[in-house]
Amino acid sequence: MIFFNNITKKYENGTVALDNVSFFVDKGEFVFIVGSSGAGKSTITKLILCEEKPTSGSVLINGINVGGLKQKEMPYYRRQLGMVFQDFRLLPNKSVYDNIAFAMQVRGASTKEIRRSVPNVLSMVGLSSKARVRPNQLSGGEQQRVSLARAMVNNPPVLIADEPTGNLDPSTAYDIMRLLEDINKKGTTVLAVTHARDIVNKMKKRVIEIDNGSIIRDEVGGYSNES
Amino acid sequence: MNLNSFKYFVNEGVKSFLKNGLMSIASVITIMLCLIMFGIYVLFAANLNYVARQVEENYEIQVFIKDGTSSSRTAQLADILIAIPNVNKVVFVSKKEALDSWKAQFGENSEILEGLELDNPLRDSYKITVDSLSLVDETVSKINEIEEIANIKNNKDTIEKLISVTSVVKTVSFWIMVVFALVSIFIISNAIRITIFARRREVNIMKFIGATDWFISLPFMIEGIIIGIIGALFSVAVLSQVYIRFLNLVGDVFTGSISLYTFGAVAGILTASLAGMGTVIGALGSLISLRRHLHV
Repeated sequence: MIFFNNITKKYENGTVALDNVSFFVDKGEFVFIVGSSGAGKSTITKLILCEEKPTSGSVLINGINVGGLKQKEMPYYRRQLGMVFQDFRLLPNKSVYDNIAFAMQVRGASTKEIRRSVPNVLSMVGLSSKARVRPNQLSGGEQQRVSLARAMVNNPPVLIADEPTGNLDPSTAYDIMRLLEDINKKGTTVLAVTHARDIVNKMKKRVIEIDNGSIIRDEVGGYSNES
Repeated sequence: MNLNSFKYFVNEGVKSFLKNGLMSIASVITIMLCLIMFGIYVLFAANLNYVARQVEENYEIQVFIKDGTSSSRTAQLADILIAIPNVNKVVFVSKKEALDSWKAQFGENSEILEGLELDNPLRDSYKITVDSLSLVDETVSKINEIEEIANIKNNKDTIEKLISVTSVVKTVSFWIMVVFALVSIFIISNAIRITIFARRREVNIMKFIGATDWFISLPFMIEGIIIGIIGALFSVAVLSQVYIRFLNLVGDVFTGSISLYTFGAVAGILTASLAGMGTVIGALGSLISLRRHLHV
């Protein structure tokens, strides 16, 4: 499902962000990628999103070699991923409903499909009552739930969450993680990049820890051994 | 593209056009000025062709027949002349008819011509119209071969000068129009660039949720086309007023066999060509900007 095969990523300034990293995430898994800032976590999401190309090695998502994608193929590839970001990335001038509908419009969904799916995901994240509200009238936790709803609405096989709780207080953060878990239970592979130690420890999922561009640990359990 | 997406594109384009207020107005005005130039060019070129065609249609060579040619031979000449290639029509003008028309031209002063009836110095002639002006030289030399021909009156040089002068004017106005078009494209691409810059975050989000380049670009292109078409409509309005006034002004000059197009006759082609040009300029302007600043 997600396969990093001997990935090395060296940036133009000489920084080696990832050094010969390999890991495999199976269909339906929930995996945390953890590590201190600068460890190379965000490079992993950038490689998956195809914002960056690996210096050597290959990234396979759903059998697609991401590094070999042409510019034209990129949008279609990205539709297979649900993305959740630390800063939510909602369209400020669209209502909650329209933000989610937009992700469907982009794919050419019909009005009928949109009318059926959007209320569904909104109720899943518990925001049915806020459908007509603009993002800036919502709390951070609510905005992140909207972005989760948007990521899910197209039923992507893989959901990538890049520091999804970075801007949230601990209890809201935990709610978001629980939502990610719910999504995962429905069959979506979830890869969450985070440094939220407490939450990771509580969730008891598989954790891949990165330090200095290398995987130093890959096992089910907490954030790190000493915690 | 389904209807749903189409509605979205148009909606976004219109919204952005309205939101950009002053910039949109500036772009509309620039494109309007460019299209007015283009319109003047179209009107000028159309009328030029129209006048040239009329001149060509009214063009005639006058062939004078030597004195002393028998009337039967003169009559025979008509058949010889009509047989020459490129000759379309042959009309006989007797020396008496020539004098009469001369008198008519003198009007009140025609008394100076009195007495000429007794010893008419004019010659019998044929007025010849041709099929094609460009073949006139060969036609004239063929006519010259006929023995009984005294001389040939041929205004071809004057007409050619007229046509060459107008073609220079046509070329110059064409290039002025091209420069204006380039300026308009630049201004529009700038306006769209500002829109793209203001919305770069949005564009980024669209890319992440898998929007294709076209999906992201079309609203911007529609915005450019809206600017183009509104500019075109304004320029047609301005040009119609200017042209009608111009026709009133020069109405006296163009009388008789040569006339200019009425506005009604050119309104359709003018509107279509300006709207087409406006659309092209608008779309091109945004496309340039999109390619340079959207990185889609």
